[in-house]
Amino acid sequence: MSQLPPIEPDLNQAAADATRAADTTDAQSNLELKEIEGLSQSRIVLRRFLRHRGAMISAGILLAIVVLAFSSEGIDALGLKIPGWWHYNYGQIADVTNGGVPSWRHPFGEDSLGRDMFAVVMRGAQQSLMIVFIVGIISLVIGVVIGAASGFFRGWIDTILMRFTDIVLVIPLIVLTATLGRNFGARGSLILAIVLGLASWTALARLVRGDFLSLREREFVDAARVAGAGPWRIMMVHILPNAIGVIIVNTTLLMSATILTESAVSFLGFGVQFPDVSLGSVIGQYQAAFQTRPWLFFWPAAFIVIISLTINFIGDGLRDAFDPRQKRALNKAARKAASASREKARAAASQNVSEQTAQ
Amino acid sequence: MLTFLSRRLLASIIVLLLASYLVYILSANAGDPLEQLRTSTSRNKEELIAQRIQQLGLNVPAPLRYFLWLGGVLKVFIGQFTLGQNISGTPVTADISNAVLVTIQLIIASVVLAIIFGVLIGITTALRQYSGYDYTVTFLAFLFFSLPSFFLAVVLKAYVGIAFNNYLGDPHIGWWAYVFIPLAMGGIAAGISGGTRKFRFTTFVVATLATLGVVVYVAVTNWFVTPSLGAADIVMVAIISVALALLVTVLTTGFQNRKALYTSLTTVGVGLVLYFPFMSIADRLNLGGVALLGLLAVAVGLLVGWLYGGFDRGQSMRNGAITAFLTGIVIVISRFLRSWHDYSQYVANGRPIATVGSGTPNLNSISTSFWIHGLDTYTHLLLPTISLCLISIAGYSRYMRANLLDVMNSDYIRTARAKGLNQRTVVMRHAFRNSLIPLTTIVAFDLGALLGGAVVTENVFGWSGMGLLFTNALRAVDVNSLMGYFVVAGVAVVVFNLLADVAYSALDPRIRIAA
Amino acid sequence: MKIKRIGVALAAVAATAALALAGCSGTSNNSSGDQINKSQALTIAQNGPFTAYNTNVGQDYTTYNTNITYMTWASFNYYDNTPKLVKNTKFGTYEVVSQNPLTIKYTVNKGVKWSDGTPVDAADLLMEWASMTTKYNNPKGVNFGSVAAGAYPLDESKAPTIGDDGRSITFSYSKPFVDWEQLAFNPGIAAHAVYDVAFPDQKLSGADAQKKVEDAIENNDTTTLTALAKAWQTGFEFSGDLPANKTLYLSDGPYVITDLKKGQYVTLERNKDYNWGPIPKVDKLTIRFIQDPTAQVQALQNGEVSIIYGQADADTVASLKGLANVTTGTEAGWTYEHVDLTMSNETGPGGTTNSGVTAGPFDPKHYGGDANKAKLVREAFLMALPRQQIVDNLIKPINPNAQVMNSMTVLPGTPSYDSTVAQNGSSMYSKVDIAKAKSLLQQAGVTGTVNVRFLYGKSNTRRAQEYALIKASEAQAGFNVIDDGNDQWSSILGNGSYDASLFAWQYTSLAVTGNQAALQGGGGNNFNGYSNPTADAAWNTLAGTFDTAKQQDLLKTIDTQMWGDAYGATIFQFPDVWAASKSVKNVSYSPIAPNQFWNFWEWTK
Repeated sequence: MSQLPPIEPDLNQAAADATRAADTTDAQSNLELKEIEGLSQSRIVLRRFLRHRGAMISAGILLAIVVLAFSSEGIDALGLKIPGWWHYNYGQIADVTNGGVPSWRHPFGEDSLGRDMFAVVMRGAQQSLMIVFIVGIISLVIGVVIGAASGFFRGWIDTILMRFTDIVLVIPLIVLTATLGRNFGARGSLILAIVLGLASWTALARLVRGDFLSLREREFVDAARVAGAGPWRIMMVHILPNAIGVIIVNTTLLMSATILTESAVSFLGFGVQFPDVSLGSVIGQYQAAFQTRPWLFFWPAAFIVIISLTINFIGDGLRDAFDPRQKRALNKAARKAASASREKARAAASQNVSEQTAQ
Repeated sequence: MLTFLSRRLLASIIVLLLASYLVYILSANAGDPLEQLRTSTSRNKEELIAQRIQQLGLNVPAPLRYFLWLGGVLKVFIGQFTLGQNISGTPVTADISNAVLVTIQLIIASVVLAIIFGVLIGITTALRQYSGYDYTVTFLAFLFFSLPSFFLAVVLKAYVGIAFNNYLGDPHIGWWAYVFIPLAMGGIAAGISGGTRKFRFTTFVVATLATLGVVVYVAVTNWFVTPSLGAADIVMVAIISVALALLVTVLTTGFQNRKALYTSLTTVGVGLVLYFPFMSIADRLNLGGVALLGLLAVAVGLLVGWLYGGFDRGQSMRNGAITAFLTGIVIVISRFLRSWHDYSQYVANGRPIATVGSGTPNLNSISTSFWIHGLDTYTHLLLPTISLCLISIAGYSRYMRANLLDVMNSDYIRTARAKGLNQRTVVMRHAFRNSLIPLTTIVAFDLGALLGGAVVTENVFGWSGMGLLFTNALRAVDVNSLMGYFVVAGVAVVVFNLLADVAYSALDPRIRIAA
Repeated sequence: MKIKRIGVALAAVAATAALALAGCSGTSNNSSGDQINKSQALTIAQNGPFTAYNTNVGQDYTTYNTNITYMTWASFNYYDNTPKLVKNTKFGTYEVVSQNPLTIKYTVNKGVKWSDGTPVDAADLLMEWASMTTKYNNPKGVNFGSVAAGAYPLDESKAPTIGDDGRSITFSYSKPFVDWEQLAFNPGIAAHAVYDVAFPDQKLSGADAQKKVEDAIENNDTTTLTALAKAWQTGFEFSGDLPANKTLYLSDGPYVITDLKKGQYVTLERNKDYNWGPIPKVDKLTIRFIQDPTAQVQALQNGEVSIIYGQADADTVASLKGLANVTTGTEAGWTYEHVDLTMSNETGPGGTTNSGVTAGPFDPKHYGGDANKAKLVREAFLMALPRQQIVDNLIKPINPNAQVMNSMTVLPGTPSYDSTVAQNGSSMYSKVDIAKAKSLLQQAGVTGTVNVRFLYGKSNTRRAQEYALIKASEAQAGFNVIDDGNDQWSSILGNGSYDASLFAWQYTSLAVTGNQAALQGGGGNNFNGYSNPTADAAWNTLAGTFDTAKQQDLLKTIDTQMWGDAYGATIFQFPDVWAASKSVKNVSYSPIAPNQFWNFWEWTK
C-alpha cells in the first residue's frame, strides 16, 4: 500500500537527452520527425497524445463517467444544488423491494436502507472524482511551489523545504491519510479531499526540485538572467514550461494512486462517512455483501477500477507524448509504412551484396 | 561518505522528531480513548475513568503529553527504553516486536517473488516491445495497478482459496479449464517467443498441447490431492533439473561454451546422486540444516566449474553454482511434496489453503517436522502473498521494461552490437545488469514502506502484524501503540531511503555522493 | 536471431517442467515419514486477543479475556442462556447470614484446588474482597485498580471474618444492596500466585503464601498490600507468548491454559483434577483471534474455526445461512439502542452543570420554562420517530424475529416485559403518525421548523443509517434534524450541546438496579437531565427491595413515568449472531457475556 513508485525512470534525463532521442538510424523515428517538422513543442505533444489510442479511449471513457456521474445525480456541493436526471437521489429512502435485487427501476439494485444503488454509486463516483481532482490540484500547487523554490534557490531554502518534505514523506501515506481521515473525515468529503491533498504532494515536490536543479544550469536560463529577468520571471516563464512534462505526468499518476488511497482509507473506515458516500466507503460498508448481494460490492468496485485504469492510461499517453524516447507505436498505417521502408532498405542492401558477388 | 552519512543521519533524526510530534497530535485528536468506559453501565464508572486517565496520563494535554512519551523514548540512552503502555496496560515494545516479526514474514516472500516476476516480465515485454504479448501485459499491469488491494484480497479468498479447497474435497475440473488454461499458456509462449508468424504458431501449438496434457493429467490423477512424488520421483527431478541446467546455460553463455554446459550438467548429475542420502536424512533436518546443505550445493557447483576450468573459468563456476542451487531447490520441493498429503489430510483437515492468520494453532504439538511447518507457512502465506505481490509485480515489471528499453537505446549497447556480440550477450551481459541498478532504489523504498505493514492485506487476512496494530490503535485511539508503530515505520523509511542512496552510488559509478 | 532459440528453450522448459511436475505423481497416500499427532482441538473464533489473566483488573476486563477465565476459574454461580443465575454447589455455597446489615457468607468446598495443587481457600476470597473495596483502590495508596472498585457498597470498616477451616469468609454491606447476588462475587486470580509475583524471592509454599495474604488483609498491612495490589494489577498481563512460569495462569476451573501465541490464539486443555462443576467433553479448545467478521465467516467456511459469534451485518448473516454444514442463529442481545431527548441542556451527569449551552426545543427553558410546551414538542418528535422502519430495514435482515423495544427498564423476553409494556404508555408511539405530530406541535404553539441537534457515532454505519431514516421521517413532521454526528460522541454525552442522542446501553447482569445511574435524576450516567420525583423515589426504594414482585412493580412505575414524560424511546435490541459447524453439538446462545461460551462444557465434536 505504499505510494506507487514513479513507474518510468525519472524524466529529468529525458529532457536532458531529448536531442539524443531522435534516433536517426530508426526509420520509424525518421517518419515521425518528418511529421512534426515546423510544429511548436505543445503542438507536438498534443499531436502525440491524440495519437495514443489507449489514452484517447481512456479519456473518452473517463469523460463519459464524469458526465454520467454529474448529470445523473446533479451537483450538491458548497450550497450549490442542481438536480440531475436520475429519478432517485442518493440520500432518498424508498421501500426495499425484493431484497434490493437490481431491476429496471433500480438498475444497480438497492441497499439495506432502500437507497437506489445507481444513485449511490453515481454520487460515490462524483465524490471520488472530486477528491481525485482536488487532491491533484492541491498536490500540484504545493508540490510545484515547494519543488520549484527548493530547486531554484537552493541553499538554506532548499534545505528547509526538503526537510519539511521529508517530515511528511517519512509518515507512510496510508498512515497519514487514515489518521487525517479519522480527524477530518466526518466533516465531509471536501475537507477530506483537501486534507489528502495536503498529504500527497511530496513525491511531486521532489521530482520538480530535481528538474529545476538541472534546468537552472542550462544556457537559456543564463541568457534570461543576462537579459535582466528576475528570479520569479525566470522560474515562471523560462523554467516551468520546460518542466511541465514531469509535472503533468506525475500529477496524473498521483491522481490514479489517490483514488486507490481514498478507497483503501474509506474501506478501513477512516475516510468519507455516511450518509455521504465515496466508492471506497460503499465497498467498505458492503464488503460482506460480495457473495450475497454482489451488486452492492461489484458496481462500486468496477467504477473504482475503471476510473483508476483510465487515469493510468491517460498518464501513460501523456508520458509518451512528453517523452519521445518512451513512445508508443505509431498508428497502424505509420507502423506499416515504417516496416515497409525497413524492408526496402534491407532488400536494397542485399541487392548490393548480390551485385557485388556477381561482379 | 562518512560526513554525508552523519549529516543525513542528523537531518533524519530531526525529521523523525518533528514527524512524530505531528503524528502524536493527530492521533491524540482522532477520537475518545474513554468511549467504552463512558457508555458502560458500571456502577463505578467514575473510578474506572479515573483509573484509565491516570494510566494513560490523559490529564496532560496532548501537545505536552508528547514530551512525556518522548522522555520514555529518550531513556534509550540510559538503557530504560520505553514506548509507554497501550490502552490495556501492556508495554508497547512487546506488541511492536511481535508485530514486526509477523510483518517481515509476510513481506519477504512477496518482495522476492515480485522482484523475480517483475524482472522477468519486464525483460520479456521490453524485448518483445509492441507485440501482442507486450500490449496484453501492459494492460494487465495497469489493471493490477488499478485494483484496490482489499478487493483483490477478498476475491482471492473466495475464488482461489475456498474454491481450491472445495475442489480438493470434490476433485472435478470444469470444461473451461481444458480450454482456457492451455490457450492462455500457448498465447503467452507464442508472445514471448517472437519470430516469424509460422514459428510463433508452432510455439503456440506445442505449448497449448503440452499444457492440455498437463491439465488432463492433473484431472485424471487428482494431482493436487496427492502431489507426492512417488518412486518415479528421481526421474522427474532429473528431467526438471536438466531442463533448468540447459536454460541457465542458454541464458548465460549459450551452448557453444561447452565447458559451461558440461559444468551445469555435471552439477545436476552430482545433485541426483546426492538425492538419495538427502531423502534419508531429510526427516531430521531443520531450517539451518537445509540452508547449510544449500551452501554446500553451491560450493559443489563452484568446484565442478573450477575443475572444468578453461578460458572462462569464472563463468563456468557461476553456472555451476546457479545450477547447483536450482537443483537443490527442485530436490527440496520434491521433499515438501512428499509431506503434502499428510499435511493436507491431518493438519489442515483436507482444506490446506488457509484464509486467515499466519499459522495453524498448536502446530508444534501436532508435528515438529520441518517439512510440515514449511508447508504450513506456505499455505498461510499463499493468498496474502499473491494479493501483495500482484500489485508490486505490475509496478516492477513496468519499471524494468522502461529501464531496459532505456538502456537498449544507449550508446554502449550500440557499441556492443557493433562489436558483433549476439543478442543474448548484449541483453544478459550489458543491458540486463545495468537496467537493474535503478530497480534497487525502488525496491529499497518499497521495503521501507512495507515494513510499516501491508495495512489492508493484514486486515483482510487477519495477520496480526504492523498494519493491523496500526488500524486497531487508530480505532481505539491508543496513542502509545500508534506512536510505537510510527517509530518502527518511520525509522524503516528513513533507513531504507538512506540505503537506497548508498546502494545507488555504489552500483552506478556515474553517481557520487557529495560529501 | 538467437532470441528465437531462447524462446524455443523457454517454451520447451516450461512444457517439460509442467509435464514433469505432473508426472511426479506416483502412487498416492505414501507417507512422508513425518511424525504427526492427529489429535485436534475444537477451534472458536473471537474478535479480539486474550492479553491478561487477571480479568478483574479494570484495563484487562474485556470479554476477550473474561471468555478465557470463564473456562479456567470456577465460580459459585453462572448465568445460563435464559438467562438466569445457576448455582454451582459442587464448587461452593453462599448464604445470607443477616438482612440488616446485609451479611453474606461464602464457603468453598473441600477438595477444590488450584492446578498447582494448592487448595482454593479464604485467602482467594479475601483477595477478591480487598480488590473491590474503595479504600484499596486509592491511586495514592494501596491500588488494585479493580474493575469492581467501589461498585459494591461494602462495609469496609472491618475485614471479613474467616471460618470453616479457612475455606469461608463472611462480610457485610454498608447499606441495603438488592443486587448482591447478581453482581457475582467469586474468587479470581489465585492469591498465592499474586503473593509469589509480589515477593518472588520468598519462594513460599502455596499454603504459606495464602496465610500471608490473609494476614495482610486482616491486619490492613498496607506495605504488603501495596506490593500485592501492584502484582495483582500488572503481574498477570501477557505481553508476549505464554510465559514459562505456570504460576501466572493457575486454574481452578475446567480448563488450563497450555499455549498462547500473541495476537493469534490461546489453547486450553482440560484440567484433569477438576470435578467441582460441569465437566467439559472436549479435551482441547483453541480460541483464535480474528477481528474481521468476513474473515471469520470465511474461516468457518474453510474449516479453520468451528464456532463464531458476535455482532454481524445482514450480509454476513446471509452468507452464513448460505453455508452448508453450518448452523446459524440470530438472537436479540442484551444491548439496546435508544434515543434520548435532552430535557435540560444545562444539567450534566451526576448533578453537574453545563455552562454556556443553549436550551434546545425539548428543554422547557427554550420556552421560558413552559414544561408542558416542551413536553408536547417531545411527544411530537417521538410520534414521528420511525422505530418500526429502523427495525424493519436495519435489524430484521439480520434477526428476522426482531421487534421494536418498548420499555425503558426491562428487556423483551423477561417475565415482566409484556405487562410492563401494556401499561407504560409506550403504545402511544407504536406507529409513526405525522399528522398527530404536527397537531401536537400546533397544540404547543410552535410554528416553523424546529431544529434538533442530533448526536450519534458518525463512523458507526448502522447509527448513521438510523440517523438517515430518522431525519427523513422527522422532516415530514416539521423537525429539522441537524447532523451532529461525531466520533467523539461518548465524550460529548451530557455536555448539553445537543438535543437528542442515539446510542446503546448494555446489560451485563440481571441486576435490577442496573439502569439506576442512567435513568435516575442526578445519576452518573444521566446524560439528558431527566428528573421525575416519583421515579427517583422508586429507584431509591428499589435498592432495598428484595421481593421480585415488588421490584417489578417499582420498575413499572418508573417506566410509566418515563414514557409519560416523553423521555425518549427505546428502539431495538442489538442482533447477535452465532454460527457453528454442524459437527459441533450443543452450541447455544446466551444474550449476556460470556455469550456462546456459557455452556462450553456441553460442547462435543
